[in-house]
Amino acid sequence: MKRTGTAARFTATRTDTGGIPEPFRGGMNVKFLIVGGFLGSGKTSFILALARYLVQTRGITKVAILENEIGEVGVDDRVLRGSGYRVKGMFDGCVCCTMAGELLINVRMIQEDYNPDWIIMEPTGMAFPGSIRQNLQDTLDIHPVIVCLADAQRWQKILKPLGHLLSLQMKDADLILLNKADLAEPGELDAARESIRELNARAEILCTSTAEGIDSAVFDRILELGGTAYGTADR
Amino acid sequence: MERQTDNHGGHGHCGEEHSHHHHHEREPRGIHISRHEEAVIGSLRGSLPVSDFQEARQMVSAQMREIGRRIRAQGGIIGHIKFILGSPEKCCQISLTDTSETVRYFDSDSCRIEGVAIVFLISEEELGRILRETLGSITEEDGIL
Repeated sequence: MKRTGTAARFTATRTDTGGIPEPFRGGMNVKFLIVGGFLGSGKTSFILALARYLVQTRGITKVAILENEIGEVGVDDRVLRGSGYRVKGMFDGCVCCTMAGELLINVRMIQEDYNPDWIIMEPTGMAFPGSIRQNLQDTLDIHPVIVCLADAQRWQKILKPLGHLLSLQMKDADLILLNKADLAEPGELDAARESIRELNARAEILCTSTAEGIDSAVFDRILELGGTAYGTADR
Repeated sequence: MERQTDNHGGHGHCGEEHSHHHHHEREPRGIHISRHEEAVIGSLRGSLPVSDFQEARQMVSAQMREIGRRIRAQGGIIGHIKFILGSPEKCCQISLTDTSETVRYFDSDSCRIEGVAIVFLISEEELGRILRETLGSITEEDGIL
């Protein structure tokens, strides 16, 4: 039984771009960020922190969050809505494959109904962000930036049994956050960083802890990345 | 007998094909088991017949730790186990038989629970059993499947 997402609920509000670099914007005139990474790596917590930064520090109020969950029950979307953000949920499938078409429909719908300045997409912890980006580029001329989170505490434990999945997630990231760094030993951090570097030689790797608070420099780095990612047609 | 719904084909954006997303017959206790790639996904919806929210929270936490323990004991890997627990602050029945509704307020004696367990290296049958014997044992089914 295929389950469809909930209806979008967006109303227009005033917006101030706060000086966000233009290169983020794609054919649909929206900045698009994909926050990928394995299950439990801290994506939802990071998105909450990022959205708070955009609103409180940058004065950006038109932020839409696209939430994709693999199970038929939505959990993270409830948390995000409960924190006051506009969320569109897509459940019971994965937007990089089984729900690729639904993703495009929902992005168009959000753009038409809400015209946000930012769309932040949280795919499932099983998704390949690179596939999502390719789909958006090919169909909607949107060029997302990909930030991937890795669980610093668990990385070494799951690397061997799930290495193929982790590799496909990390390889297309523009920025990698080695998250939950507060829970990892220094040796674990170094080992995780080294193995992630083998999966992605290009992306900058930063240590973060959503529990302890994320430095605004991380969010500023994401905004800076827009100038690098936009217009790279070979992605 | 299992019912598998073959919903989807593979995709070719990254050259990697995804296996089909399979759904199984709905288990009792509002439990639904499916598979996506290597992951086995168990969703659960129901009510806890407990009116005290903190007591319900402790019961759910204990059962979730037990789920994790049983997954690990069988050599499985926890992807993510996450549940929403809601307390009923206000309850009412809204009834309509003609042109206007009537509303009757009452106290509820249960909390709502819904969530998902996403695991690896565990069979669908085993995850179903684990969920039935843990959270499933303390929740009541919705009756809407």
